[in-house]
Amino acid sequence: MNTPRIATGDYSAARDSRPWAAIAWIALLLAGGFLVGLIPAPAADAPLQPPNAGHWLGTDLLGRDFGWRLIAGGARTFLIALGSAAISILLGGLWGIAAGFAGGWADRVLSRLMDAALAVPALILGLVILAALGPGEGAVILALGLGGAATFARLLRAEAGRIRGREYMLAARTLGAGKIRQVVRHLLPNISGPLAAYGALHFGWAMVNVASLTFLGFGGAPSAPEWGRMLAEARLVFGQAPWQAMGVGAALALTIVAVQHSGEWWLERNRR
Amino acid sequence: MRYIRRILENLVVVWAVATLAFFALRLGRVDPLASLTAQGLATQEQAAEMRRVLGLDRPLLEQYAQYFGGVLRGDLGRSIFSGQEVAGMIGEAAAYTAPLALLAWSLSVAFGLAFGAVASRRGKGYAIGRIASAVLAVGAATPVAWSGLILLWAAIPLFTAPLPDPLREGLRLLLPAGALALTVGSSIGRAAETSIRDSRGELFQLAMRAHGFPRGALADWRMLRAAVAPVLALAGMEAAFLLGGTMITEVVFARPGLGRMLVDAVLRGDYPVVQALLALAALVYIVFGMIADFSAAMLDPRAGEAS
Repeated sequence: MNTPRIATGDYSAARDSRPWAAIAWIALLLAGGFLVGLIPAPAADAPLQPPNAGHWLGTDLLGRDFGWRLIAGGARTFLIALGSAAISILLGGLWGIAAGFAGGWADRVLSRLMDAALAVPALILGLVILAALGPGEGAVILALGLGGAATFARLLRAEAGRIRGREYMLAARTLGAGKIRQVVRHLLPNISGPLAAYGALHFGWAMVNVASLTFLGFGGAPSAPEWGRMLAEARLVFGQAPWQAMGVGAALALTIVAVQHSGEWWLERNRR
Repeated sequence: MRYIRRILENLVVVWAVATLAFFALRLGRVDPLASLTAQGLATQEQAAEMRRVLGLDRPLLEQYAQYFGGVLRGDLGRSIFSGQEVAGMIGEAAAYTAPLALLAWSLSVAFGLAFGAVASRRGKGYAIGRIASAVLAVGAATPVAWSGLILLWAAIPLFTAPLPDPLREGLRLLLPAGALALTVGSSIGRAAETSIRDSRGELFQLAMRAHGFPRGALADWRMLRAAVAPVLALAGMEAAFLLGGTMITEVVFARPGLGRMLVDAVLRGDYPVVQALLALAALVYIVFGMIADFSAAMLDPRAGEAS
């Protein structure tokens, strides 16, 4: 629920052990969301029930089963964040690689564009794009995807610039490889490690911001379970049912930690 | 000369951001007058009349020229909804956001550096380091909307307790600042953790140790100085990003301020307010970026040579 600190921060904090717990949590989250999607949402009941046999985690303000929404909402938030991260990675990757690989005036122009885009906090940039698109889940995906692209582009520009001067790139150029071939066959395989790792970290950032925007009320239909919106709803009934806000927030934080932890581990592994 | 060029380049960036906001809003789907008519606050004719008065029916480029003519004369326009001058509104809201951002940032830097320094020593037989490292990892992933809620909840007894008024007011500022600082400080702390750990391997550290400087996490400021420089650069950037963070914080804690003003303005389509706030965000970012670069060069003598 904040600025792109995860994306601008340093990614290299050493994490040594394999992130099995993190991967298991993410798998559980997605599998749970998928399975719960197979059964229809339980019908509305009396609102704000405490956990009981009929509703294991109680019911929310509108009498909907909270447990069902928590599990279904996780996968939904995850997929929205995944979509927006994918847009950032594709667009930012192209942008950054083009700048870092091309060099010269093209690099100057593309880098200045990055500066301009980075001068506005990505969450605010996403908010403005959202203002232009109107609220909705697709709009959130696109807005954060575009808003986060520059952050990613800057990282990838540095990576591409680093690889560009390597001997094998020189060899490829000398052998007459075209620009496209140089990038696809020689540059991409050599930055795919950091690309995937930065992607995972960027995804953690996207997840925070998806939840932020939907918390503020920019998401899709109110009936669709989604963690950010659920946190906003749970906040309204915090006095009566504090476990709801606690549950959603803890699940959100845990998922973000899990994704980042995996990303850091992957980044570290690729450095060695 | 270098600085003048940099300032000019940065002014272009601010202008580009404001321009982007200008066109994105007007070409977008949020129509400020549609919400008025939808709520029955204005008839179609009244809305059309307002559109004419506000100049929203004229060609985009003409509106653009008029807006930037005003900006160059120091006139940021008026809110479509309240009719107040945007500059005045920003001044009022900033009076709430500035203390929050300042306190949050100070807490973040203190918390981040302290925990980062401890976490950087994570190793065998140093459990505190591992704990600090884990705190930073979780803190960076904690949404402000959630940590704010927990803090509010934990502070309920304090609010019901008979407290002197100044203390209560202080608490009103400290809680949102604390929630914000947990997240912001954690990311600063994570950067500090890595930076300090990496700097331990550097030659100048070996040289200093050979000259008899003690080892240890906070052994000597001169040891930390070079490692702290990039962290401060990040902290400068974080200060600029606090405007984004205050959006959520101010909504959660029901405080007035710039962040909340921006959310409301975007939701309602208050064009002049959004444009001005975006330009302000870019300006703040650039100013802090320059301060951060400058202080990094002061702290680590090598930074100036590299750039």
